[in-house]
This record gives sequence, structure tokens and C-alpha cells, in this order.
Amino acid sequence: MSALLQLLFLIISVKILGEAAERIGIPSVTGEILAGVLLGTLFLDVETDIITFFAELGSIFLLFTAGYNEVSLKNLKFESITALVPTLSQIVFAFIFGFALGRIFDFNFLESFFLGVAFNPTSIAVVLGTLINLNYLSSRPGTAILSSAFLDDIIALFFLSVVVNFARFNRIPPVLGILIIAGKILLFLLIMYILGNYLFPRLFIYAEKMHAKEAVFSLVIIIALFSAYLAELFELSPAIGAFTGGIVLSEIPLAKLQDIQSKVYGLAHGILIPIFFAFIGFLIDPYALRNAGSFTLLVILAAFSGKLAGGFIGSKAIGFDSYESLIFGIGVMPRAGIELVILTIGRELQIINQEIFSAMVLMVIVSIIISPACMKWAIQASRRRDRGRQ
Amino acid sequence: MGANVDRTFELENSFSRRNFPRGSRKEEETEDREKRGKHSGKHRNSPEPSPPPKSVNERFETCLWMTIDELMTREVVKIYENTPVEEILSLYGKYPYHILPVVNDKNELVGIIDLDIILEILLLCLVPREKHTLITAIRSLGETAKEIMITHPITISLNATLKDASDLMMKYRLDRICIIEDNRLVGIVSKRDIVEEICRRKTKS
Repeated sequence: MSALLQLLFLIISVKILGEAAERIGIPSVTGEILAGVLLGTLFLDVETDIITFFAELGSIFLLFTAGYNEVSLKNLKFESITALVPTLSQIVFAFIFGFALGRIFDFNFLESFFLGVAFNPTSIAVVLGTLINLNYLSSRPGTAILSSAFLDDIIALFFLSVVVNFARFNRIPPVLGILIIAGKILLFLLIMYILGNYLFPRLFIYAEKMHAKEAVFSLVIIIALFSAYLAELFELSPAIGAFTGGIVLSEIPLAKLQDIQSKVYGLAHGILIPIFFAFIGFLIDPYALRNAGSFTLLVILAAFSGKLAGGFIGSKAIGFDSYESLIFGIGVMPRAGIELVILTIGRELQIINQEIFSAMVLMVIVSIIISPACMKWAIQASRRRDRGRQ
Repeated sequence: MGANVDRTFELENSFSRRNFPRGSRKEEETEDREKRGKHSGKHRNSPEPSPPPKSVNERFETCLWMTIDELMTREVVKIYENTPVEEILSLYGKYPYHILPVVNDKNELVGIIDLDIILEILLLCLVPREKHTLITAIRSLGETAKEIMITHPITISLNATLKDASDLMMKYRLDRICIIEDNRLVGIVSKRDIVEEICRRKTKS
């Protein structure tokens, strides 16, 4: 009974606190994380197993819908090689800042490497609202942010699968080990590619003709879970598999019927993903945060300045002016969903400890809260200067 | 990229508009027009000559198995891959369709554009937060049909039956389905086409 009550409490509180967050102008993720903190304080014995199970599904579906609903590979375009310079530069800087921070605090290689990887993903959704409201999306930095955000998620997920494998060796693996890891990743991608091109489209044609209720919707869910499981078999992380599964499905017409998409979206973003965010809040350990006060502060500073500096230098190099470069840097600063999934994976595999985890989650929350405001300030400042010049 | 609309179709439209000014909703009117133009040419050599009426049910049965070939609209308003977005907007201002097919210069169907996309582009500032995704952002910046279209349209083949089409429409709330033959767009069938066909047969009996 109490599990049901806790689940009920979670779903209600994520919606209410999520809405409260939206009302004061910050993305609902923050409110949803807070709901998890509440759960931890209000209930004495939380049914961790059940909540964990739902949260894991949530993390799988977060990445699945990121591939399935939110991108279309055919619509993506990269104008030129030069447009990649700021992207690569911010990725490299973010990684170096994360890695160096770990080294300064005497973390082992694996922890530091993980920090570097975890500094990478960007959540475009956080600043997209600001860009749209200020009508800045079509500007040079705006388009650069768009192409950057997708690429660094992909790169972060790729390196995450490498780290996950490193964790099994628990040290820097020998050259042969690295080759095996690369081989496994490639083999997994190859299998998914073949299935996605030859098997899945056929399955959907059969499913569409089935009389069983909601066969097509079920098949989408089946493929999401299957690709997550397959990735696990290959000793990658299930969430990465789900992301690949989503991308593979994203060009199959029957899988992408508007009707089916909104059902999957409803299941994922209505129930499972908010529970995942709440679970993150539940996992934060306030005592660990207090003990590691200065570390937390440094994590936040390093995570922001890595992206800012990398973005600024990279875009300056291809001829953006200072404000534009600054705006690009801010645009790649926020982290949200994918970052949180990466952190939970790291915590689960005990690559990072409770303190680092809590500090990183706090960094995510701060980035979500301050990025839109910074963005607004930077865009307005750049416009004031333009007006001043005229 | 001058004329993206089939000229003959346009002429026919303006002609029939004068002759049949019925139907309160603009949509009904145009889809009517579209059908009338098609039926005049098509049904005379339809493979099943109307049999002597036996029962309404039997008539209905034959109707289910008629092929899309006999039912579809052949003169389709279509958009070419590199039609600029402004031109697409004006097409939507002119025609009442929810979905327009996008073809390349070989007349191969490469995508569709629906009113939801157009609305998202026009009212970008009102798009709900849950749609603040990469794909919305990229679409809003698109300049040609290719950049804003849905790249995975639902299609059926020329020899599919009315039943196949209506199955899809009823299950997934589709309004119009593109019909292809060797990847090339040959026609389009709408819910209204099907409803009208069935009603026509019913009243005949």
C-alpha cells in the first residue's frame, strides 16, 4: 500500500512543483527534482526498489524520446566545417576542465575522466524559450547553438559508453581492452542499423495489420526496451541503447505516426521522466553537500567556465564578435535531462561517489536556473551596443 | 521555382467554383471540387460496372474492396523540395488542405507538410514548452520545404483497397494519405473522398 501512496504522492508533487517552477519562469525539471527531495523528507521508509524501477524506466525513456521525438537526422544540417569549430572547442574545454578538476582533488583516472565526460552534454530546451522570445534564434550564435547541442550530446553518450566499460576494468585498460570496447560499440551500432533498416520497418507493417489493441504503440515500446536491453548485453548502458533505438525509429513512417508519437510522449514525459527527475532529488544527500561545500562550488564554477571559455574562444576563432561569442558560450552552458541520466549511471556503477553526484546535480540545477537569465542579459546587452553604434 | 501548383487543377477549381457554389465550409467545397473533377474522367471505365442493386450490404461490400486507384485524386496540389517557405504559406492560404505532399524533381514523394508545422512556424513564440526541442527550432529556421517537412510520410500503394486506407485513417486519425508507385507520387486520398464514395453508393441503392 505504501508504495502506491508514495508513487501517487510523487506524481502529484512533481506536477504541482513542476508547475510552480514554470510559473516563476524556470524549467519544470527543478520543481520535479524538489519533489523528490520532499519525498525523502516526508516518508520515513521510502520504497526505494519500486521508485528506482520507475526511475530507471524514466531514464531509458528520456533518452529514447530524445532520439525518437526530438530529432530528425534528415533535417539536421551542418553548414560548413567552420561551424564545427566552436562546437568542438567547447567540448574539448568542458572535458579538460572536468578532468583537471578531478585531478586537482586527487580523484583517480576513471573518476576524473567521468567528470570530463559529464561536463559535456547541453540541454537546448533550457535556453530555447529565451532565444525564441527575444527572437534571436535565427542569428549566427543561435544556429551555432542548435547544431552544437545535438553534437555534444552524441559525443558525451559515446564517451559515456567508453567510461562504463572502463569501470569494469577499474583502471586504464590495456590497448587490447580499448580495442574490444570500440569493437563492442561498433558492433552494437551495426546491429541496430541493420535491424532499423531491414527488420523494424517490416515488423511495423505487420503490427499495423494486427487486430490486437495498440499493436504499433506496443511495438515502439518493445523496441525501446529491446534496444536498452541489447545495449546492456553489450555492456553499454541501457539508456544509450534506448537513444540509439529512438534514432533508428525516427525515420520509420509507421513508428512516427503523430498519434503514436503523442502516446509515447505522454507515457514518457507525463509519468516516467518526471519520476526519474524526482528520483534524482531523492538521491541528493544534503549532508554530503554541506561537507563538500568548496568542492561543490568549484564543480559549478568549472562546469560553467569550461563551456563558456570553450564556446567563447571557439566562436571568436571563426569570426563572431565578443557578444556573439559570449551568447554562444552561455547557450551551451545549461544541462538537464541527458546530464542527469549520465550522473545516475556513474553513481550506479560507483564511478562517482555520493558527494560528487550531489555536487553535480546541484550544478545542473544552478545551470538551469541561471542560464536563461544570463542569455537574456547577453542578448539585450549586444542589442544595446548595436543600437549605440548606429 | 515558378508554378508549384498544377495548372489544370487550378483552372478546374476556378471553373467549378462558379458552377457549384454550395457548401458552407470552404474545405468541403474544395474537396468536392477535387472529387468532381476526378469522377468525371474516372468512373466511366471503372472495372466494376455498377451491378443490379441487390442489397445495400452487398453494395457496401464491393465498395470496401475497390482499389485506391479508382478513388484517389490525381491532380494533387504539391510542393517541390526547394519551394521557399513563403510560397508554401501562400499555398496554405489558398487551399484548405491539412497536408500537402512534398516531391523532388523526379516527382518522388520525399515528405509532407501539415498545418501543425505551419502553425508552429507562424506562432513560434507561443509554442508550448514541451515542444521546445531541437526539431522545432530547426524547422522554425528552415527556408525551403525540404527543411521543414516531415521526412517520413505514411503512404499506401496504388493497388491498396479502400479498406486499407480507411483502416489507417480510423486507427491513427489521418486525414489524407499519399499514394505512391515506385516512390513516385501518383495521387492522394482523403477521408472525405471515402465518405463521399460510400454515400454515393448508398444513395444509388
